Amino acid sequence: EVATLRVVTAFPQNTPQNIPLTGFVDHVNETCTDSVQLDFVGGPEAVPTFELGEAVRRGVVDVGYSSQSFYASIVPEAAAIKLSTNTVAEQRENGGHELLNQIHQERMNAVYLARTHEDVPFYLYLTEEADPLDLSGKSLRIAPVYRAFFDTLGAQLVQTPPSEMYTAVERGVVQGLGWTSLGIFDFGLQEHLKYRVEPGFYLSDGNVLVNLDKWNGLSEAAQSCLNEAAVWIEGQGQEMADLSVEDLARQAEAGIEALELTGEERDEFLRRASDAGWAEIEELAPDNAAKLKELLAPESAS
Amino acid sequence: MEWYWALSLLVGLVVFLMVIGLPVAFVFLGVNVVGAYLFLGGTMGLGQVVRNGVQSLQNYSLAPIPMFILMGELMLHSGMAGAAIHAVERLIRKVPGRMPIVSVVAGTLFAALSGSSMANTAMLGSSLLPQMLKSGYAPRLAIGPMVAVGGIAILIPPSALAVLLGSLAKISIAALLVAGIVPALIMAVLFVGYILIRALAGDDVKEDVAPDGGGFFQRAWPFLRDVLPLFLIFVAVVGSLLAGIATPTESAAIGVAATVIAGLAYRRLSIGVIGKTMMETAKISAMILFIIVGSITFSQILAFSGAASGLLSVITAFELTPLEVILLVLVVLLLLGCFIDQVSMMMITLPFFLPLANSVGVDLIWLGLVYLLSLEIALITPPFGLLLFVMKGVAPKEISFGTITMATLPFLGIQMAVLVLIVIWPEIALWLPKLLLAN
Amino acid sequence: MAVFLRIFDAVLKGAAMIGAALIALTVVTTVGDVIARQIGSKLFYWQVDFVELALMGSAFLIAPWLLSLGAHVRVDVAVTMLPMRMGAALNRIANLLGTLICAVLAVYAWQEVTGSATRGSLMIRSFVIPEWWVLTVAPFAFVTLTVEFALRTLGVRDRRETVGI
Ligand code: NA
Ligand code: NA
Repeated sequence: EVATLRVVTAFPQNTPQNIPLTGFVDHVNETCTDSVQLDFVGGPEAVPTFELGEAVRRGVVDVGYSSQSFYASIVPEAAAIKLSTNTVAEQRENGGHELLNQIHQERMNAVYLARTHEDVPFYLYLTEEADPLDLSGKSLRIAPVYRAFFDTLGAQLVQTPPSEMYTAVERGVVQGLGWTSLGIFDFGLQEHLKYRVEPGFYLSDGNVLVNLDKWNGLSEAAQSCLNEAAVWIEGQGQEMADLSVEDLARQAEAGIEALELTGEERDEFLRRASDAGWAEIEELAPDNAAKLKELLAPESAS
Repeated sequence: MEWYWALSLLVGLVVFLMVIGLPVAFVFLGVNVVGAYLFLGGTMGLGQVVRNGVQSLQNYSLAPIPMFILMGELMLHSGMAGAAIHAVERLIRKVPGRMPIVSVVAGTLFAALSGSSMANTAMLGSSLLPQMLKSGYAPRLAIGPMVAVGGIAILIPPSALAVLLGSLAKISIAALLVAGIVPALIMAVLFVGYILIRALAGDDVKEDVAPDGGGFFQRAWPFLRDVLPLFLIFVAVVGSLLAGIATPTESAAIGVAATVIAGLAYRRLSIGVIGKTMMETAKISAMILFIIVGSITFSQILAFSGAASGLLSVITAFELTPLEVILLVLVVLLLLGCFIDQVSMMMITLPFFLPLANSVGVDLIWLGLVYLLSLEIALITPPFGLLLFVMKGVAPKEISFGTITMATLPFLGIQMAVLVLIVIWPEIALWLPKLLLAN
Repeated sequence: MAVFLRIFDAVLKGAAMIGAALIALTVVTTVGDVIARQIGSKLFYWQVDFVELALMGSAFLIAPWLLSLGAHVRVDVAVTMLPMRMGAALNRIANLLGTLICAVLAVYAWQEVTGSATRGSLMIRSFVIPEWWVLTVAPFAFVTLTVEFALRTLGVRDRRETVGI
């Protein structure tokens, strides 16, 4: 018997963030025809972004596609994903993926099936030249993902919903914001941003999560087909990586200069980002923090 | 379940519960209970519906709704509104149909100071109507303008409904707000024109001249004292935004602060006034917000069940032109507007019309403006017209609901004419946002 | 019964006053944050998260009081067009359905609170609090709404329905 699973994404439809999910769904529907099929239901218009984790936990949704930041209230440890310094493939090798899977099963009643978006970093963008390590006197638009980090840069923090981000930048309420390499143009922000601080910090993530009860009810053939599809989609990162590179080139054309930090400044910038992120995890989930750091961010651990 | 069965069931249940008179907010909650059980996987879906409801209001973009209502209520209960209206009354003199014109002018001024159409009509009705009836105006000409001009408050910024529409439909709120200004002014001018014609024809009007005339300066002084300073409130809202001090939501809060400061300066605020203002604000805000709780969740169930995308694929198959889509939107909204409130109108229709408009490339600001105008008209279409109810609440007992409705009809006609104008010739309204927001 | 009604009304009014205060605080904290930013203070860093929760909290806290005033908007065309007795019967059916709807939601809202508390779910914002603190307004609202609808079904409340003004 062929099982059918209902899939919902936490990212708004028709945004590039859903490209890996579409690839995954198509791949499963092509290769797993005799064991399991995926039925794409919709996005935030069907299940609110911040409720998708809960909907997966209780089985209202069988398969969810979400960034960890949207379900941090259920799995605070998942914030470690954004702090990764090694690749998904390495995490599958060294047990990091399995640890995340265990934590997701325990806290969220969900299988941590696949992790995408690893080639899309976050950046600090500025509307005027400034010292990224000392932004006192400036205001930055923040989101929960990088609040703690931006706080260490000395800036005023202004939280706005994405819908008000453009006005905040245009009118000069903020002189900078954090965003990934993708999406600056969707919001028209290139008109007002002048600098992108290099290096990027943190990685975005789009995770495929399967309700555990539903997973346990699947045939072995279905489970292994889904696992194969997961490894396959994780290997398709190049498409997102290319998009990311393309967007950075477009940014340069639109007049957004790279503000390159080098040497000790670069290390200091990354160290503050990493320390702020790990400090949050240690506070919310002390049990798993050290182990996660060792497996996901061996560079920061040493 | 096939999508059309899901759709018929969900919409049919909404209609049934509305018709038997269950309050609108609970209509949606009731349909959600059934919908969650059927489509979200039984009892575990019911818990999810509760959570989605709690989540639905945790949206910073909705914060201006109570704030704009609070501005209107503060002006009403502090008496600042009454004083300003009487100042306008003294200024306009020796015009046929003087008092109805005063209400149109004062109503349009208040539209720029308050984001709540209900507060707007309540202000005019409670401060001008008794006097107008006493001085011999037929209810028709006295009541019609007050009810009709109330709706202008949602077209001219600040506007609670425009904020809600913008945030639900992801249309630029700033562009929406600016786009409403020109149609609103056209309406106000046409209202005044209609009143003049009726007055010159001698119908319905007992000619009166402002009782204590005096020279121009004497008449202008109350206007300078009681009206002009209020525009500092408008300046605070728009200025804080333009100067880069505040985000759009923050500028709404600054508007409230400016209104409080104005109230203190006029020595019109007391603990009693503030208490009364807060409780009235609480009433209207919670009325709107609690409908949002149920109706956002309702639209999620529509999407999850496949009903929304199913219907959409059928409509899309007709390959409508942008104009035909706009006409479809307009007809559906005007019909719905006779029976349900503004928030529900948006919530029920946006899941269908927004993807449809996107698929055929309708200018979203045009769409948004047609929405706002239709929502405004729905405020005064019977049998369910919120402003008609508001007027019934503040008018003297002997004025019947039928009288109020009849008095409003000519103005309803004018509003429809403006709506048709905007549909045929959208540039009338759209040049302004394009000009202002281009740079 | 009279004593119960007096206490019940006081509870509803008290909750509504807290809700109204929350609305006032959204203004105070928002203006406070704008001012604090100008002078380089981070005093109101939690403002956005507070405003979002206050919006939600105020709606759930005020809604039961609003029902007791008969001030939720409703479409009463059918009720007013029908002959008096039939209209009254329809009204009673509507109130009975309202009772059932709110009772079901009250049960599941309560389960969400206890479930969230046992799982220890956190609300991670600019402040970290147990999620069930926030969810608690839902069972409060639905339990009191159930009682109010039941009172109306039984004809204990004789306040006229009016539309919220
Ligand atoms: Na307005
Ligand atoms: Na209407």
